[in-house]
Amino acid sequence: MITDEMSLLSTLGEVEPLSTDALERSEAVLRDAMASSGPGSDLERRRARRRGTERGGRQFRRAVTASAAVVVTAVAVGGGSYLASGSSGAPTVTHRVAQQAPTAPLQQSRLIAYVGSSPTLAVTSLPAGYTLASSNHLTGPTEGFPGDELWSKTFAGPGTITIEEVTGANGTPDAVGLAAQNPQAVQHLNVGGHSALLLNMNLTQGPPSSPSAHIVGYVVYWQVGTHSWAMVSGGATPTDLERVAAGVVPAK
Amino acid sequence: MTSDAELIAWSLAGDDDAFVEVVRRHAQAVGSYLVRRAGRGAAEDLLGEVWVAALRARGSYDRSFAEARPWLLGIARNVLRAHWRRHPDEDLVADMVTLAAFADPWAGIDEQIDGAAMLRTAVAEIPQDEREVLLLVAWEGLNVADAARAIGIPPGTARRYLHQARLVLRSSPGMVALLHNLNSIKEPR
Repeated sequence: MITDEMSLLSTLGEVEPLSTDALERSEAVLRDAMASSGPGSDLERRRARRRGTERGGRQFRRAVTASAAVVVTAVAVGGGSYLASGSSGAPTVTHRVAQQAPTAPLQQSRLIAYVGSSPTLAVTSLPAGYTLASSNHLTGPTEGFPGDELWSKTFAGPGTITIEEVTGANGTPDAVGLAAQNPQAVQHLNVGGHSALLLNMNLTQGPPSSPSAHIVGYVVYWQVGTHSWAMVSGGATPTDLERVAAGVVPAK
Repeated sequence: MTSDAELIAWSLAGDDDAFVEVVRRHAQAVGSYLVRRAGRGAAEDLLGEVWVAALRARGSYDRSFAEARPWLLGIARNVLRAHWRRHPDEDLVADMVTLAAFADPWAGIDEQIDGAAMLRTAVAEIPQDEREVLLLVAWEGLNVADAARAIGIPPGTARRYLHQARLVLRSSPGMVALLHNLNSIKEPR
């Protein structure tokens, strides 16, 4: 067979195919975007509000999960309805908070939630005295590794707790890596019947360039899927984090 | 099999899974396109951006084209350009001609001839649009008409670009000798 310049060039362009994992992560980003532009989107929620059909988290959750490709978890506490949607392996996280009912008692900003696409997390209960914060949600995609906004929201300040589910390389796996490098900062826990790790960020030493290197506080995390973790974190005490983590389960 | 165009039409009618099916059909091809030009790590990050951009642009898809791969590669190209605008320190030419270098077709032929390096240098000297047509044909396996569609130029222009690019390659230093050597090697019995 005669070799010409095109066949030579063709050989030069041979590459190993992307891994299944990488393809799945990209697909998760797509499904996330679909969910954002679908029935759970801001636009659709505004329309629903105008129609007077959005009356609470549970009703809205049923509507969303019935029609969206990505399961979205909604939590209703004290009359307020909160909706969280998240991402995926790629450094993009979306988080939406549904309209809060006017009667919802906002005692203290204690919790935000964003959840990933596979599997999602559900918050089945919260300790007495806790409610969901509306002032600390992610309003759009975050970029960076991990998302700068994500980290700043995660550790927003004393008393703020976040519940997160992340798939891929964003956020939680960074904490996982940090824990592996800092065994002195890790304690093993049993929260809500599952094994988890408590990472004391005050005792970790990471690369100075890493956002996590400048963070103090605690992280409770556990694996909920092959590439996904649940994480409860923030500037609260480890006991507070454990109590919140006990009510977090993978969504059915 | 349902065409990509039909699936895109279904997705516009609200069937998200139809669009996911289009994505799955072309994921490896688009992923490899990105790997060749931006490296594996960036490609994995950018692939999701391509799908999201395609999702948003699917309303303008020309459904007279049954297959969506050239369209998706065109979107990947735009995503890649945006990526390089965000990271101006990453040079387009350097990426394109070095990142695919691990596949060395000359191993065992003649270690004294660094054919891959020579070829990469020759490719780098081709004007950008001509090079893009050349590589869409050689690497992505598109015909010239589809390559034209991917980068949004008339097919006649793409044919001219390809012709010019091949001329540059053939006339690059060492290419004649290299092709002569390769074509002189007897197939083992």
